[in-house]
Amino acid sequence: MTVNDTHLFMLRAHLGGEDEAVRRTYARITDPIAMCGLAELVFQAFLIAARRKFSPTWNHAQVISFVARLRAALCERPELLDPITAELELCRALGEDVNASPDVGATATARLILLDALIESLNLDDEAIWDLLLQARKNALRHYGENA
Amino acid sequence: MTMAVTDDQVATLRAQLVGNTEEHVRLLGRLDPVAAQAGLRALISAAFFTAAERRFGTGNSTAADVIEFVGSLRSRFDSAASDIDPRIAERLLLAAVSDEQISDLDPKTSFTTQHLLLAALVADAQLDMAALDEFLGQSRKLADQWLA
Repeated sequence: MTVNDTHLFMLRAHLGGEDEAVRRTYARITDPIAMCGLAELVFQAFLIAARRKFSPTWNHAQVISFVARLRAALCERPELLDPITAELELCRALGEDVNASPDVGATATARLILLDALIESLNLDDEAIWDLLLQARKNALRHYGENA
Repeated sequence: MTMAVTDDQVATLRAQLVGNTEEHVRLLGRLDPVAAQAGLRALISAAFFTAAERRFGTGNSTAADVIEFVGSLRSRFDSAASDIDPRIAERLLLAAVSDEQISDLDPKTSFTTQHLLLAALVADAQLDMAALDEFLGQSRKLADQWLA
């Protein structure tokens, strides 16, 4: 299992709203195992972004408000982001010992949508986003190394 | 037998809504438990629908406003965050002002959530005593229609 350049470019394209580029790259990934690398990259990027946004001091109210504002901004499809799953994922990312949602699909979706929103709220420029993604890849590869 | 909301039931809810906990508990203890089960519950539900309609039924309110209201309420108190499931709360509020279907919700959870939301809606409305009495009068009428 690894995180490769395709994963990196695909996530960058997603964060930049380049839907066509995402679709093209996605079509090239035919091996379902290869998608695991992308999921790990998203997770690690989400962890970094969440900690940058909320650390060192944070509380539940901030997390709840952030998720509520985000869901309100999703206009006609707030159900895309399950609020409880999103709050749990943020709290877990910030170090709280809470159980993950048993819904793997909702969790993956929450991480991706939250990552998008966190990066936007951090006002990162292109270079900073690449730095974050490269750091996330490093962390993902370290994670794979530790679990190999 | 036709049942109707009693003055004591209205007084009990009124005491709660103005934050007079001692009086609320005292009046609650005096209520006939069987009659109160139907009458007070109907009054609370009717008051919830009335308050929700007044807050979100103006035509300018959107689902986003409902999401932000629930998020704001849950972020005010840790207990509210855990006691109120945002998915249920949002659906209940939307049901008061739209064709949102809630027949699949657990009645007990639904009622408890309505009760919590009612307190917040009334607190936010900052009603003076006359306006609170007018609100309770309208809610009572609606509850009596349900009980008839």
